[in-house]
Amino acid sequence: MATTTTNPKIIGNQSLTQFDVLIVGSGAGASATANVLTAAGKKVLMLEAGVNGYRNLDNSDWSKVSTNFSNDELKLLFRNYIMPHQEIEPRTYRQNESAGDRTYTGEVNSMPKTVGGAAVHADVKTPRFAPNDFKLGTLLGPIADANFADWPWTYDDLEPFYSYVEKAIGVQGLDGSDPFAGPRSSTYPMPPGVPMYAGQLISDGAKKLGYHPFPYPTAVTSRPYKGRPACNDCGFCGQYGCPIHAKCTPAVTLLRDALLTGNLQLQSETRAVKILTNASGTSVTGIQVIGPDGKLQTFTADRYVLGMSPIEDARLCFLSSTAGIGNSSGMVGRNLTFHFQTLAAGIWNQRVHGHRGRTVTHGISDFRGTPGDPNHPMGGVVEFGAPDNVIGEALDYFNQIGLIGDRLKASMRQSPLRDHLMVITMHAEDAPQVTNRVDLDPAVRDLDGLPVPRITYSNHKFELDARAFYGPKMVEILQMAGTQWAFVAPADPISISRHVFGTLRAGTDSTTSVCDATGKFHDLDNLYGTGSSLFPTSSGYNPYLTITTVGTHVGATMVSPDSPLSALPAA
Amino acid sequence: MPTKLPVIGVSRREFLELTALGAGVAVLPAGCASSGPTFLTGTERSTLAVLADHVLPQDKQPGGAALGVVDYIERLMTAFEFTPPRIFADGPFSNRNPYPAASGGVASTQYPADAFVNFLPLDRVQEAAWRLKLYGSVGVPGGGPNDAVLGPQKGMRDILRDGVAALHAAVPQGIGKLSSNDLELQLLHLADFRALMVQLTIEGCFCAPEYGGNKGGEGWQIAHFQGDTQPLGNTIYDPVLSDYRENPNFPVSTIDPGPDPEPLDDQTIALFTSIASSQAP
Repeated sequence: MATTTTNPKIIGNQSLTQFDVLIVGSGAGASATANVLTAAGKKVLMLEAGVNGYRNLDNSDWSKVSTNFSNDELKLLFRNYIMPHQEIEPRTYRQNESAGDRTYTGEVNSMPKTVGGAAVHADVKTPRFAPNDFKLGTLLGPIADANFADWPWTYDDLEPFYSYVEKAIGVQGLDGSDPFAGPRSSTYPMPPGVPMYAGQLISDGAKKLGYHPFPYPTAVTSRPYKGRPACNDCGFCGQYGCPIHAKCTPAVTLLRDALLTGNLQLQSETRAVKILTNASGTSVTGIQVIGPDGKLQTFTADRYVLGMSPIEDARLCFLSSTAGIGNSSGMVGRNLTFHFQTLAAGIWNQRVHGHRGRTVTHGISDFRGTPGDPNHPMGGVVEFGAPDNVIGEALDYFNQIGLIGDRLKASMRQSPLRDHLMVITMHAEDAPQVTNRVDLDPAVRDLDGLPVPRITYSNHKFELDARAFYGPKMVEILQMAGTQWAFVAPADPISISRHVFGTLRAGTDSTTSVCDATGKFHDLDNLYGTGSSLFPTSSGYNPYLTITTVGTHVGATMVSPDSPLSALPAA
Repeated sequence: MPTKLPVIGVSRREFLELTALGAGVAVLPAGCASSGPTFLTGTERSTLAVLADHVLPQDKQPGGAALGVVDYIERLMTAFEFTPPRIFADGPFSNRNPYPAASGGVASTQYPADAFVNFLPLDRVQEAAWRLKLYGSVGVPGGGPNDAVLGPQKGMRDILRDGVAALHAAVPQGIGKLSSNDLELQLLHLADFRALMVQLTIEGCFCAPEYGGNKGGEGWQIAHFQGDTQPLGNTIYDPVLSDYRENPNFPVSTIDPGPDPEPLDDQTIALFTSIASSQAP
């Protein structure tokens, strides 16, 4: 039996030893920031905790680039090739402080750790946030127990960066198809790919009810694009890494672009465990890591960027200082938001093979809502999505319904929960609350003996009302689409949404936010956040494009503070 | 190697036969599991085979035992006796599907080598996690990181071994003689064992065959599932047409051709009518 050699743990320019910028994390925000910095000639060191799932990612010849990712349900979904293992990297949860130290230990909003970050597993839907999403503090006004805030950037500020990112990574979509979308200065780089059959059925149902379905903007190639092939609709999209690089994820787009400049060195299997600062705590002096061999090591640079994820970024701040690095505002770890997901399941009498295709090809923005309008509350985009593959399907029959034996086998043959099922999901705005936060669990530890993140989180009436308002309407859409059965699924008691925001909120007021409009920590002169940790609010749209856009803006501002647009490399 | 035929254009039945043939030949060499390191005793293998058929019974198509669930379990339990450990199969492709042709929107006759037969080295974190999953707190130096707070973790190997032993103690005459209902009653006293056994059986029935289960791809045939489809996929972009061609037998944008191979039966309809009526709104 042949064996596979280990993919390189260090890629890019391995001769670099002095760095202008050190970025912790290699996902969407981190890669976007690195792309701009390296294009401007900055020498960048990137540290990634997870494994490198690519061979020759730093080779300029696409024919030499390959991957470990595959159509392998067992590896990706059940053996956790890139997902954290709860036995050694759990998180803990409690609804509020009065609940005690914790009420649950296990998976809480866990995201993959791997070169290229969590987006590797995503089906990479890329709607832009809408203009209103950047000023909800003003538009909604004070709401009891909520903490909405305006972003330090408007849609107009970010629009050129959105356009740049869409072209740089490759996005498919249909211009003008979503009447609720903001104005665009550029057309979609690629047209929509092959529509899923069940997505069309649901779109037809939505149209009959007066809604406005559109081909979902998605970072998946529908044409050969920048050396990568067109997607072939293999059916293993959401939750899988793409075997042919048709998903425009960070690893094969902006991260690879950065690697090819010769200005980036990426070290994987390297876990940041402490931010070192000067005595006054105003400047970072290094990042301490545990390397692939389990040994401590320290890396230095002139400037530092936290780009892991909102939960891990905040955790690192607290691992580094009891009070939290950069926490004079007391806001580090707070205003943690998710997308509050409402799922409605529709089952047809006939097979609709939702498992075949790109997971999601259609959706509506009609339920995003209007600030302050009680007849149109603020929910979120609704995507028409595919169900599990076969192992997940069989486990659902057993775990959710209790089927075993003959009826389990009959169900696998008839496949009501795979070949007949679609699930439509509303990613609703989650009202930010100061009390929803990340800190360190007082007793639960990871494999290295370090405190794990503890999530304290409870829902606000804001998102619960949106669920109550739109849930029945989602069922109506499925009924109109011809389903035999349609119903709203129970909400997860503990969020498992992979859409996570906040903890290093960006804002102009240093007493209420952690980072400023450049992404820099208010309290430190050389530490930055990037990506979704900076988001003041969650919006109601899939975040990948906006994470990448904000990460691009952070990098561009670091390069050219007075004229960030001028720092954008060629798309 | 499987017969190399362009797939676009063959019938649904022919495709399933083709993929089954490919899967069957692509499986690791026959006897690999039984000739290599073993964890399970003969008695344990027999018991797990009965339980695999309890979860997914044999009928006109194979049940869990015939699909190779016991071999699948054996391979996982002995994963660390190989270098690299047999946890994560490599990618990106098996050899069950051809590459698309360079033009014409059709399949080529060229197949990739089966990378799924190779296994990936584990990094420090993956190794720590999988040793703990398999061997438990007592089987790894220093135990689990949270044994003091959450209690020690029992490894899969011990759960299986202790579960089989408990079943034998409770049913000395052997579980093969029990009805399905009586076996369920016995298993309900062994919750951890039952949950693990069902999980592993389902994985072993429907995983990629290179993991030792799903013999001949027959688990996927039961579920009318294509299995892995790369590098061909279900659509092929034709640069001449500047558009896609879909596999007529496995279309993405239209309903499947031909009759439903196994429509929802009365019991399934009753079940989901009940489930839907119990949900709000």
